[in-house]
Amino acid sequence: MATVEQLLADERIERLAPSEGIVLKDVPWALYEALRDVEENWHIKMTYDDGALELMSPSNKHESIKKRIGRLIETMTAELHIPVRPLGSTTWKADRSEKKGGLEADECCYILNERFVRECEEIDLALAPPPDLAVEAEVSRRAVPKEPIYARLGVPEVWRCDGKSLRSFQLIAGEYVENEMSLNLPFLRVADLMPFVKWRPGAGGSEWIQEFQTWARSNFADQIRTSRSAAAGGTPARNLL
Amino acid sequence: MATVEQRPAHVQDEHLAPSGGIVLKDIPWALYEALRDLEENWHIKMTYDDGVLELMSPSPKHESLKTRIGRLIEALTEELRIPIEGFGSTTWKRPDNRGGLEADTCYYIVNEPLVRGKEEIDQQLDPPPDLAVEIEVSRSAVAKVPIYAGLHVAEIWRCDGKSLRTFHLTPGGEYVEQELSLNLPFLRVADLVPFLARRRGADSNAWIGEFRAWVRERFGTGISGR
Repeated sequence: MATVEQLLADERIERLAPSEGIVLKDVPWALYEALRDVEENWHIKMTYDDGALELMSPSNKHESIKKRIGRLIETMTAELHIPVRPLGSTTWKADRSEKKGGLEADECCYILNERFVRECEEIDLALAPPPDLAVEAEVSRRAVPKEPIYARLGVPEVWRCDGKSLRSFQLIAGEYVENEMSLNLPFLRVADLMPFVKWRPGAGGSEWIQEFQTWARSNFADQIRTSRSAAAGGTPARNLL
Repeated sequence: MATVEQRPAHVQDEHLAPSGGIVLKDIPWALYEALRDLEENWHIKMTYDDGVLELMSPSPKHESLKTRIGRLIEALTEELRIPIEGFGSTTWKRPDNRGGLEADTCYYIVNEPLVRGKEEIDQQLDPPPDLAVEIEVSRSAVAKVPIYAGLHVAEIWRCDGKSLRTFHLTPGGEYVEQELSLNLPFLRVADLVPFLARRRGADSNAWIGEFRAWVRERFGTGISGR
């Protein structure tokens, strides 16, 4: 299993386009917060780590990968009756220690811990656990890496997709380690989603998602049965590790 | 009088590549200033116009062209013994706190005597630079020309690598393209274009040497009346 450090040395990462954002240094936390609070700029992704601030305006390719993965997660969890709380590109702040950080995932959700946030409209990380799964669409190189911030937030699972591959990383002892199977959806080999993420010319909008539903149903029929009986039993459907 | 194709200075060129910069909206002046004051980020160009803030990291092509034009201006004025003061990418701010920018490079020429020897410009008391140069190899989201008008910069040169055009500020506050420079009125600005690219095989010293020879031949070694 490759660690993030090994992956950074990996050729595959080097081939990403240079970062398409602006990086500012020595930015005080309060200045980052002031920038982030300006509602007009919600579509600008801001990644802050201990004074370094990367501002990014995501490309079309980036957005379409991110949206597709989001749809796959939603579709799969709906098919399998797995409760999920998607939180899109909410800003998450790790501001309780000296080294403050803030970021937006491309997509994120609660799955394993969904029941802990079910009743909350706003999520306060002082009280609630961090999101279970964050998704990063990486079509260009990041100047400010997001893993260290995710680690400080305690996000258990991060998916990274560069348009050619989809990989899952789990937080173990403060570092992200690649794993074949998902943590939140443990029956799922994450790379199996990639054919559905790739854009195929001529593929109609709903056909693609129907193909995916069929695939999910036939591959994970057991899951549906487990989830349904758990629901029927009055307990929230849970995936047991 | 001028035969050059007249285009108003505020027209943005749609064919240019997107700048790769970031545009933020609804930014209060104080927030722009706080960002601009972060010394570590001096190399990031920030253009502010009434709440809209564009942040840009200039490309190598951009920087290379800017350096070449600066060298041409400096060599030309040296040959002709015209005193100038350059203020590079100083940040200029409108007194009404509605606009701020950095030129790619800028000079005092006509008003040089007023700022001779100054290391810093007092923007409350000193005049604005006489000439601002804008390298335009990518499209800016925030138009700089209106900000320059608010700063009362008399002359702007706009260069995309293939053309070099000069615009003069009218009393009405608009920029109008002209053939001849305002600050260097003997110079047809387009005549510098062949020197924007170096002749193949010529190193930078040969290049600037050829330019100086051209200047001497064209204009003699001094402009009378200065």
